[in-house]
Amino acid sequence: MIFVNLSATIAPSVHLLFISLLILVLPLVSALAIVVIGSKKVSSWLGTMMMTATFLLTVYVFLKLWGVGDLHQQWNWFTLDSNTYRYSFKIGLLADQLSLLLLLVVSLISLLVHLYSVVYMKQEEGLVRYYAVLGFFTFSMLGIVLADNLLIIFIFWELVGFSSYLLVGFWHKKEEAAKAAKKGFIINRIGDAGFLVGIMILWSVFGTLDLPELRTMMGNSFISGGNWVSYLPLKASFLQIEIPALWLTLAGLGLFCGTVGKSAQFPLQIWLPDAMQGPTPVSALIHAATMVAAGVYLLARVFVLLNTDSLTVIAFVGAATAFMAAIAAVSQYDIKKVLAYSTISQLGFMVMGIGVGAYDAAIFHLITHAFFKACLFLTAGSVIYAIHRLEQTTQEVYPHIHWATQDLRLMGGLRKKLPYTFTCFAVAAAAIAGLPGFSGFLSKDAILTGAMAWSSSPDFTGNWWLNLVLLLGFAAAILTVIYMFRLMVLTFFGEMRLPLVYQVVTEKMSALREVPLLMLLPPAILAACSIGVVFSLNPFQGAQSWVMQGLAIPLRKTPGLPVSLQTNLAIGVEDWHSTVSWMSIGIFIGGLAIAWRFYHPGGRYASRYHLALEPQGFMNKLSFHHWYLDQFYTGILARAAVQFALLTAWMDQQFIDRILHFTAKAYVVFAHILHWFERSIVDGIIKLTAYLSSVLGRLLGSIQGGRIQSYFIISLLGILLLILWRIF
Amino acid sequence: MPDVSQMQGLTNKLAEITASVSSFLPEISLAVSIIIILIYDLITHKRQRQYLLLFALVALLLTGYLTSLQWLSASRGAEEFLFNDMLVLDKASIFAKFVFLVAGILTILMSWPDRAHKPMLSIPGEQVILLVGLVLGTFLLCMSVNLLMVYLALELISLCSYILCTMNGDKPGSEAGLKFILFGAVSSAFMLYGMSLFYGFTGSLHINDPSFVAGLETIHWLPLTVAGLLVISGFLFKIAAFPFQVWAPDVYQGSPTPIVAFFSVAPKIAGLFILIRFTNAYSFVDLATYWQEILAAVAILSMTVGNFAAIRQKNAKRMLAYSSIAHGGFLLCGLVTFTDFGLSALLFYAAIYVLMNFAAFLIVMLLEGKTHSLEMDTFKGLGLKFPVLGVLTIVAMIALTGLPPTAGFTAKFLIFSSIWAAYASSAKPILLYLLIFGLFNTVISLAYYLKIPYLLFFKESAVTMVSDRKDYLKNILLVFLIIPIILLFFKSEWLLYIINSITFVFQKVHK
Amino acid sequence: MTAYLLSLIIFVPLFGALIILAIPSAAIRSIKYLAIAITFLQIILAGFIYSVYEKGPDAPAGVHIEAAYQLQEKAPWINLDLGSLGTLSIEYFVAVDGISITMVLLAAIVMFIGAISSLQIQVKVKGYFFLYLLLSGTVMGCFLALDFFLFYLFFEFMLLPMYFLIGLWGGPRREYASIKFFLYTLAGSIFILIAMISLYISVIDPAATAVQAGLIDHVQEATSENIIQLQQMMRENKIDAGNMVHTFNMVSMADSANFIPGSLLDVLNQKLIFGNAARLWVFLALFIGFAIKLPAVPLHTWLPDAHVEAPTPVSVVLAGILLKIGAYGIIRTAFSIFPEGAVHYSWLIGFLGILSIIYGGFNALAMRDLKKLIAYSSVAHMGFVLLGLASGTAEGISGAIYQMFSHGIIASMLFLIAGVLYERTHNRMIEDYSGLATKMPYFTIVVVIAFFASLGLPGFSGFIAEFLIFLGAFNAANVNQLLPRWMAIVATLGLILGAAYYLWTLQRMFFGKYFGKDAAWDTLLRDLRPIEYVMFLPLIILTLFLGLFPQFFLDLVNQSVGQLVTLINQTGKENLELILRHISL
Repeated sequence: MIFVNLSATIAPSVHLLFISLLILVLPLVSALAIVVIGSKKVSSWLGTMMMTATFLLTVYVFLKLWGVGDLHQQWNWFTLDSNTYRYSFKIGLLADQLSLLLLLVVSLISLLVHLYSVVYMKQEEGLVRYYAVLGFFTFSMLGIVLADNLLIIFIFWELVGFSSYLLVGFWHKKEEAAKAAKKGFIINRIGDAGFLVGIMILWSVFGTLDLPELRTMMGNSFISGGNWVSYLPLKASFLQIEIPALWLTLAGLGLFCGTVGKSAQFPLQIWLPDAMQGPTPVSALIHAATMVAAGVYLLARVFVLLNTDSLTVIAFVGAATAFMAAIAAVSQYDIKKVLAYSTISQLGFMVMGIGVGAYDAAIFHLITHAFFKACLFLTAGSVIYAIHRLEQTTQEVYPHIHWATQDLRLMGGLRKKLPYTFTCFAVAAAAIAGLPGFSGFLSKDAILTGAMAWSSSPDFTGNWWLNLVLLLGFAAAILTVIYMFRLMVLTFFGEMRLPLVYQVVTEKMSALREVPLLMLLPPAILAACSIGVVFSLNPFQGAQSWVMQGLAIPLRKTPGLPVSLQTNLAIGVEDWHSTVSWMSIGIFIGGLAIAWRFYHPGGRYASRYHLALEPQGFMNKLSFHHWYLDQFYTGILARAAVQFALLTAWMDQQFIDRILHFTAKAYVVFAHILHWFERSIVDGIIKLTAYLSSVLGRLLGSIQGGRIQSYFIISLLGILLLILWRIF
Repeated sequence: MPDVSQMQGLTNKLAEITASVSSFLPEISLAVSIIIILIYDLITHKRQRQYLLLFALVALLLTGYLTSLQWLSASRGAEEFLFNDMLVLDKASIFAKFVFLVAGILTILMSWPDRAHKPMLSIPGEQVILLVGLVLGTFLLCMSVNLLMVYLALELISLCSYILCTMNGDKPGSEAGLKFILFGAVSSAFMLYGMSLFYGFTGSLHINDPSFVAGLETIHWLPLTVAGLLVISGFLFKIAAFPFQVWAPDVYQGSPTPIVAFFSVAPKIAGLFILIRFTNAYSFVDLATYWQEILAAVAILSMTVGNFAAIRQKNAKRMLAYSSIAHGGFLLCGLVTFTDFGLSALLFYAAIYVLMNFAAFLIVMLLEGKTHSLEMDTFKGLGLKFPVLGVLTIVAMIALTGLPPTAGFTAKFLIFSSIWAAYASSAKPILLYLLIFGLFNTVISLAYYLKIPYLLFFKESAVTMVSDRKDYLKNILLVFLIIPIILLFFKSEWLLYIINSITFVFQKVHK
Repeated sequence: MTAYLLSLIIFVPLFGALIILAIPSAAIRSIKYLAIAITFLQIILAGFIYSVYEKGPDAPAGVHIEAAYQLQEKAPWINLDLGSLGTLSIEYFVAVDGISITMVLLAAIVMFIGAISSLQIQVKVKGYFFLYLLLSGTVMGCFLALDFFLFYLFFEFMLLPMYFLIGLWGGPRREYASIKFFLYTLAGSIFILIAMISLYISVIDPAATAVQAGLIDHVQEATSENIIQLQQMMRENKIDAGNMVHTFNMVSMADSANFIPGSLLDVLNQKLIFGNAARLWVFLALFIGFAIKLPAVPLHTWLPDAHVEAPTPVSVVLAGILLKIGAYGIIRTAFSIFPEGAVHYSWLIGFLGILSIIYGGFNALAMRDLKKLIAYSSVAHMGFVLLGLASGTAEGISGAIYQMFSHGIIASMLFLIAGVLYERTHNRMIEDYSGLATKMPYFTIVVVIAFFASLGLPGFSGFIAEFLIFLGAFNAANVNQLLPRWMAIVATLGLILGAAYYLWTLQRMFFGKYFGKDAAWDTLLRDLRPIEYVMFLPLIILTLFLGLFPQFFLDLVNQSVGQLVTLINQTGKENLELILRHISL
């Protein structure tokens, strides 16, 4: 590899560069070392130690660079090179403010999950594999964060999907886990195909995939006569590229497809609930905090390349996803499913944030969400762990008893048994629900403010339907309060419903106790990070948080963008800020009131929830089945695909191959016809003449010969035919 | 005075005849051998038949020696007219004679009795005599330039053939022979009628005579075509080309294999030779296009009919009969181009065809020796038992299909090249069709040529009773046939160099 | 040594085959080890070739410039006098450029792995290895020959060993499969034959003709001025036809100045055949001939049958190398000699490419036999090669060649995987297995690696290849207008399908609870044996290496691809303009 340039925004610092590379590589080294050593004992501690090192290095780099400048370094990876062209594909490391934030989040949560898994996964057979893939995942995720061009992002993007596949399918003997892993990867691939199309479009217009270069070139391109025009540098000259302006929007939407897959947006969000088949710490790390956030991160990375149309689509998709998933979260039985739908919903918020131009707010929400959602998952993991322990203890006496350890119908009242876990859970729940004073309030408020500013922006006057985004956003926010409240009540309040189903458990209830310290520490840290003051001293002002202060909204350069848009949005945010803050508080209170009305602790709903059956009524069913999307995909689309595959296979054998066979048979048939012709017509005539001549022969006294005379007739006919052919 | 001039003419003619004799030595040697063998056969005991074969072999070798002397003395392009322009001796005919001699020698070697082997024929003496007679007939035919001489030569071949093929004495043989005879008689009649028409048109029987050509120019094209086709039908009969192929399968199946091998080669090539000389005559009167289209159609039909009919055959010899009909079509392709290149390709093809066809019949003989059957199904699994024979079979079949690395490929390659070259320069669509059909037929032919190796190797042996008699002579002979087939692929120029020293009669006016 | 490297790599295995003939058939072990040793020797020779080959930006790169080929070996072989047509010269001409060297490396590697895999052959061992080595030599010859006749000889001759390898050591329907294979490919090669004939009749060797015309005394003296002068004279009809030396040299054929004026394949020829220029017809003939070998849908139906019936090592060779000969032939002959055809028919070629990708993908999805699934996935992956080639862009063609190599390695792995299962249980039906990961964990790891490599996971070679092809195919609309944009977009469906059929298979066969259709399999299904690691490991390392360090490969091909791109986009377009002007007249 060759040094191309050393164009760092700050003075090129070799040791920071080295450390950044180390941050990226350490988890990979950890994964390889774990595989090579192959020992269960070593793997968990080795993985955790390496992650600790990674995290500490990240903190170091973060402190050195945050608010100081970006680090950017490129190396040549490979080149298509000849006399007339030179296309370079580079590997680049870009540690700007955005990636610094993500770096911190990813390495911290990954560390905590490593730590948490030491106890949680202790009994697992495939522990080596678990830690190895966890390390590999962290490597891939950090790769996405640190990459400076779309090709490298795409590569790590796919690797993240691959590690997710391995982790979701960790319990590969479980049919559902294997299916969920497959589903996750395939659906992500659909998104990635779109991502690839986006990359193709940008490549064909700009001849590069470098994000900084793309930013510059996007600024230099322009729309003229319905065409998107750009000048592509060749070896010695420029090539003018002119393609219909629609491709600009399609490029943005293509890249967005990647997000739709990875961040589980409508219409590809169906894989995420299934992915809960993986171990719970994995859900916390991958399917709540990091990988699914990568889509949002990608949108932020390519934010400057998106035009108005694609952003509008993005905003709508985000809002719709947020709303749909929030509805689904209200009626799930499975504690992890509730959290999964909640994750989808929150991701929808973030995507909506990007769509409305509230770039910094979306990232802010990404970070706060990473902490509180990871916390929720880890505490949910603790609950499952505790209940599983109870199940094991019970099984020592009653081996035939099994129950679903994640089922909310059997929970309740765990507050008393798991007080610390409950505390962490409560803090995180407050954060996600948007209780003022907690991080979630700050970030969600910022996104809603952005949405408000956007829908009321003078650049969009007359587009009343933009308010729909706002409406869906608010509705989702209210629903968040409701489902979180429900989850809290069903898990921690009231009395435990398990003994109502299995009376024998009562005698073993002492086994239900708080989880080990090592499993308490990570959620506690995450809960601490979900408190508002960690981010902002002003409990009502997300915009004053250090995150949003440190992140400047990049100036969009896309041709066709209204010039005043970004200024107007900024003004709008200022104008609407206090109004929306009050509205957010109102939402929280309103949501709480509704939730209390239905689910209040000790109420009928919670105490009889163990009797809950399949939901009845259209709305309940719609919610429980997540708008029947899954049924639509697996029942209709996947089946159609398989049917089509069978059709092609049928076609291959019955049609294409049949043509071949037919030709082959036609040969033989033709051969038979020839033979038949010789045998029947020729010989027939011969026989006829033979007969005739034998009659004649009897008269004339000659014998035999008749057959031959007719051969002669045949040949005569042949010659006559040739003559006739010549004549006519 | 008239008497004197007549006498003078007669003397001249006699002088010419005596002069011609020196250029007629190979034929004389053949004729003499026939007589010697005949006498020997009469006076010796039947059991000493191999000596008859030996005699014939020596005679053919001697003839070969005489012929090669002719070759050496003949210069490029020189033509020598013999016996009052009845025959022509040029390098082309000498080349053809070599081909016939090789075919004859191979036939004799193939008929060579093995130890403790049932004799091939019950009357070997006559077989040998007739075989030499056949060779003589082909010699004469390839030299003939006079329609009468053509007729005589053709009849000599025919008569010998008729007897040879009926000589087996068994019923299918005699039936096939009878068909052959009567069918041959009819085509002879056609031909004779056509010839008489030509004599009527031109007052000459000498196809290279300017007056013959001049006479043709004045005749309306319709009678000319009819007469031409009638004459050609006799030639097509010898080539076993469409629509005169009907006799071939029965005769091939019914006759002794070495004789069939000879039938499938020598008369065919001789027939092609006379066809070339005859169509040449037409080339002066700008009727070449006529012949081109007719003969192209004949070629296409022969190839197609031969190949398609061969696909469904179960009897090896019958299959080879149809295969030889198809090869007749391919050989005609070279003629149809009406170019030097095409004729060179034809000669090359003919030479290679002799080798590979004899190899194929020899293989059939050997396999028949193992299983005592000509049904191909009985050949199953023999390739694994006799790997060398199996491999040689593969090579022979590949060569007949026209795949590298065999000279069979080179031969087809040259034929196709000549068609394309002719098409490229004349742009006549018929040539393109010829090419397309030729290629198409190559693929089809693979289907049945592959059948024998397929049965030999891929199928489990069905017949347990396999005679493991060692036919050393035939095996060695087979090896010696296969070697040049491969060698002439890698060094095709060796043969083509010889062929190129022949300037064909094409476009060459006889004064 | 270097002077004869290329001949050595062709003839060493042929010589080895002869030695095997001399070994008594009972000495099975020595036959096997000799064959492996010879294929290993081939790898060493290929390594030599690689090390001697000049790489880098200024290296001579071949394609349509004869002087730019490396390691040339040239000897007169057949010289035929065609009378008034002139003479015909067939040469033994082998050389490498960036495109063929990659294929030689691939062939050496795959042949070696295949030889190891052949250790399992138990019956008729002598014949098997004889044919295997025969195949090995002819394959090399195919990639190295620059004389069309020589190329055709190797190309055709390959059929025979393959026919017998499938037909004698194959599965239950081997006879049908082998005959189908033979007839199909023979039909293809007939198209190539007619193209070859029409080409040599139209093309002269300028240097040799200059000797005939008296311009120079000896071929070696020919300078580029002489050649241009001769070509000029020929244009002005100053060369007698009898003096022309027709050639089979593919490189001479790639120069349109070497075509005899007035000949059918002359660019300026105005005669049409069935309403189309002869040059375009001949391009199509070559394309179809090689597309059968590739195989492109709808000419692919021999492939599933041949693969399913062939023994494992033969499948490996078939997928690993023989399919590449189809693609290589398209590049070496059709594209290089008739660049205008590449331009004119780019739409058709690209369309066949995406048809293969999608049709192959869907078929793979429907297959119940693991080997058949892999066979159809090969069809899909070779579709990418077509798409890349059709684009005529640097990215597309580089990607296509990359894909050829990459698929060679990955497909070998995949067929070895099918072989591992088949060897143990003689059953390859997907539904007859479940939860193999429990029984054979290390095998499952190999399968996961191979499947993900094949579905184009970054880090493996297939990703680089397909990524470049996508970029190129899409970019073509901007750069040279050869392909519409939707083709590249539709082709991305192939990525999804790839994921679908591989992951579905993984889920059904390897994950879940263990189940085997037959109770006896419990003991049969043992994890990988050391010899199997020996086969898989090099392939895995290679595909990872090429996925991570593409420059290693691109250094070899860059210059050649550059020339090919120029050839297509300049010469091709110019020629096409000339030809189409005649057609429209």
